Amino acid sequence: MKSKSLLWQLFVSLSVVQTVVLFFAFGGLLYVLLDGRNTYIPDGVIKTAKEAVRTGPSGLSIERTPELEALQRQYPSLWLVVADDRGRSVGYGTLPSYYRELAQQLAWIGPSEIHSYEERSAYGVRIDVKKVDGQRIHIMTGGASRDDLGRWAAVVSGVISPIVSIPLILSTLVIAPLLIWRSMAGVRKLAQAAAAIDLSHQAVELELDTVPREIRPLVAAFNEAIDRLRATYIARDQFLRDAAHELRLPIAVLMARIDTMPKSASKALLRADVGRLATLAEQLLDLQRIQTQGVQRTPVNLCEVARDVASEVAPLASAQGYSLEVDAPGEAVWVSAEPLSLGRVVTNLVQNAMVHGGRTGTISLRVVRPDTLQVCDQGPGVAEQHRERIFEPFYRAQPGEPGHGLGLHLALELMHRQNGRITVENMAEGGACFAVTFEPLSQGRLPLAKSAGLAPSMS
Amino acid sequence: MRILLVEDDEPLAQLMRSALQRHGLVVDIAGSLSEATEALRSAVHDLLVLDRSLPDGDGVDLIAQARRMRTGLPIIVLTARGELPERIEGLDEGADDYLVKPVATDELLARIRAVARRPATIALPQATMGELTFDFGAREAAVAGRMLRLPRRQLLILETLIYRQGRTVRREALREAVYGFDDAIQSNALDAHISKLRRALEEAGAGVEISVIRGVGYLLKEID
Repeated sequence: MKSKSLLWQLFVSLSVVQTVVLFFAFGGLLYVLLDGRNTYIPDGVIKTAKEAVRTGPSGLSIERTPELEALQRQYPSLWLVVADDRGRSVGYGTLPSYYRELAQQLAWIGPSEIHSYEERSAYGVRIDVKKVDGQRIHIMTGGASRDDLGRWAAVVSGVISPIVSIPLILSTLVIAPLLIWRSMAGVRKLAQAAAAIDLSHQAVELELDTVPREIRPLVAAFNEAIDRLRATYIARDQFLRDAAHELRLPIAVLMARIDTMPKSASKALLRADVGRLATLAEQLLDLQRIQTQGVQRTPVNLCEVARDVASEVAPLASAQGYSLEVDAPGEAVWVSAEPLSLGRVVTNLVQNAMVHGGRTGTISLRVVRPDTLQVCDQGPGVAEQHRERIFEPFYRAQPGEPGHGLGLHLALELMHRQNGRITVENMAEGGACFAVTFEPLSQGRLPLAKSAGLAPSMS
Repeated sequence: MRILLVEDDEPLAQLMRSALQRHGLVVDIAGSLSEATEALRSAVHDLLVLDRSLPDGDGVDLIAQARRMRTGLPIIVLTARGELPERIEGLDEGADDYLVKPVATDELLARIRAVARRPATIALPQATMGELTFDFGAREAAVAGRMLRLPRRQLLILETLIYRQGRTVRREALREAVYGFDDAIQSNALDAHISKLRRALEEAGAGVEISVIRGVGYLLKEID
């Protein structure tokens, strides 16, 4: 489901509600005020009258402008009386007798209106005061009444006109985001806290007080979910600890037992077998472990990693009939990686080469600028159709052949964790060549000390 | 050299004892923290090998106490608990080395030699690989009991290699051991000495050979 912005929803619904409410509120108010049955004289009549008024030293006059004549054609009984502030006045049309008295007092009457009932529209009179040529002019007019249905329409259209609704909608546009932004500040803080949650550290809980009350149940539920996850995490961590102990101890006993045996061909074989068992146990533990631990990358020198791993595995490789060599440039090749994971990846690749290299020839570790480390053997290589699948756990290319165990799978997982890639190709001269490629370090991030970033020894 | 081995798994403790005894070490076993504390009072041990998961607590808690009772006592933690934070904890507490089980006897011997405060001549006076025995005190090599006469440089190379008990020796480390820091030498001089030593070992039937790890260093290995 597409989630819409809270702001947008609020804005749309508030705007619609405001318009509708305004429409009915003003409409209702006018209905009450006007009683619905009165006539009125439109603004246009006053305007036309004002434009027809001429002032002069001798007094006022009314010019027969085209507009005035047009108005008279529309309202045949139209009449006008205009007076200035000194009491001089002039008329136009036939002033009804019953308003003659009032017209004489026009200069002292302010804007006012006499509404009439529809059936007696001639009684409708409107008085307005305007400025003409700097003089105050009182205009009284009649005989131009309209029924108020039209006025209704005018009023209502005025209410929903942009003049009224736009400021309202604009204020919504300003206030709604402001409110939401402020009430969401707590949520944003919470989101930051949630992003920083690391289950491997001590109890984590999001604060309830910082968010609006409406969101608290969500946060509380989230906290409960974290608690449950953490319980699972702790149980798993404990399981791993126990499993490590339970797996390593019998292997240690077995190894010590073999060490006390007199030297023989079968002793060497037993040692190699126990070595494989130990490797598998460590890889199983690693596989569990990498799912619970975070990734922390630092600058690592690939050349040093290659030499460290080679040093570690050399006795075993040598005992199995392999030569081991490291081909690395003299200067450091820095990449961004997890030192321990990187060591495991390379160790696993060498161990894989030892199982599949045919117990002969050379296993070489090559560091290729700017970001690649290769582990190549001189065995039969990996056939095209198996190149993807050998990274699956316990994949076996042929029944009866030694499997790839967990080592390559682990290497793949560990490489993904540190944004690296792992590929396999066969070399022209025979043998498989695994390559791991990392994110190179930008020049600015190189460690200051040349010796920093060495992979810790893996034992 | 006398070692206190704190290990609650009886079979493993016995096997380790017999393996270490064959290399001339005297091993006492303590099965718990309290037994270990008791044994440390006698002040006869030169080194402590300490397990972590013991019936009455975490072995790491013994480190500080052991150091108070015996200033300068070398301590190696040998445990099945090998998570990175656990290793850091162990080393922070003051262990000289932190090994995760399983560990081959040769490896343990090499580590013991590395952390022993006493000179290697006293700590582990001899090393044996194949038919070859090396006496660090007299700086003499012997094959099946017969003295193997070697020029000084070759003897130094052999000493450095066998001291590491089959583990890899970096080329720089070997050069340093043989020539010291001052000697400005050509690198192929070292290679010449090594190939002569290799021939000498083969002729004497020492049952060991020098493997070259090109780009890294050398190691001494037993011939199957």
